[in-house]
Amino acid sequence: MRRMVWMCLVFAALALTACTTAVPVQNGGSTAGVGISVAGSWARGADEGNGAAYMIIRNIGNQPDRLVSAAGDVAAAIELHTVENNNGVMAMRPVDSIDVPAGGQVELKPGGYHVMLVGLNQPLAPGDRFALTLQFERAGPVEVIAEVRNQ
Amino acid sequence: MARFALVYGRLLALAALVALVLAGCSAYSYKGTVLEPPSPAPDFVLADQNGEQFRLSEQRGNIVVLFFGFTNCPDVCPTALADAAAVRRQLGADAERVKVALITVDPERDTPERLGRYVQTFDPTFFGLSGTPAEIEAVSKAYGVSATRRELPESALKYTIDHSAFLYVIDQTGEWRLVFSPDAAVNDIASDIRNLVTTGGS
Repeated sequence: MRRMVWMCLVFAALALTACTTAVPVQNGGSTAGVGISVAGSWARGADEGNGAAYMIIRNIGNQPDRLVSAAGDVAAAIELHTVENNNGVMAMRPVDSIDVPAGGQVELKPGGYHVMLVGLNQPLAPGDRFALTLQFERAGPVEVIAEVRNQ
Repeated sequence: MARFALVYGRLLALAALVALVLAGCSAYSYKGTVLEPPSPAPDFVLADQNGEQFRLSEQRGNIVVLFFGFTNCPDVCPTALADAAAVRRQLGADAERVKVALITVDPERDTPERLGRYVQTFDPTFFGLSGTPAEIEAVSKAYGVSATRRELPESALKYTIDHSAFLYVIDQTGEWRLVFSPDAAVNDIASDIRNLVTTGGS
């Protein structure tokens, strides 16, 4: 009995460590950045010009955070953008940051927030992967691997 | 007599079923915005990516899907074109008679070669159409497309073009039938176009 209690304690300690230091790795996800988990990073195939990367950013912490920039070798410039839909007239605009509420998530998706890849340094072919470093105000840098898909 | 009644009853049931199915066919309700009554789609001539003339009125017999956009547009335009490509894949053999064309609203940057490479990453059958700024403006106006250049000094893009991101569907007889908003579902677009294919645009 004593042994079981002991094991439970060890297990609980391990589980807690897992929560505070690491986040489960998912496809296109990342582990860095306490409190922030990124899943399903992808970009649409493009042979030249510009591209966009999408993902779901979860904030499992109890403090609001915000994505303030993104960087990587994939493009000459990487910016955060959104799209406003004004009765079917789509207007793309740069944004300074993207809020990720405490305990919530924000989805970067077509027709909305996206990581804009301006001036691709290489063609993006389906199946390719590339790295992006997302910079969060609170969590700091988070590395993600985005997969290229024709979706 | 009982046997006769049974057969007769079955025939009646079958007839009722056929009637129901037929009623279902004629009562197809479109998911996209229907132009009622349909009006002849404004004709235009633009250059395709190979420098050939693309005249809309020469597309009779085909369903034409038009989208206005530009190749530097990284989010909205690829989404619409990827959707259009998915629609053609879903249509299978029916897609043979479905022609998709991107008309550039950025003729200054979009050369025919660039347009060609861009559209064909989505579907090798797609057309990329361009013309002089005046030609593009005339076509845009005819379809009620708004395209406004916005300077973006804080972005590496330099400028973007706010533009109407609808898909316009023209039937086999050259009538402008449907408009889809940027967030329309692929299944809905495919279903509507399949109905146009089977009804022959009538």
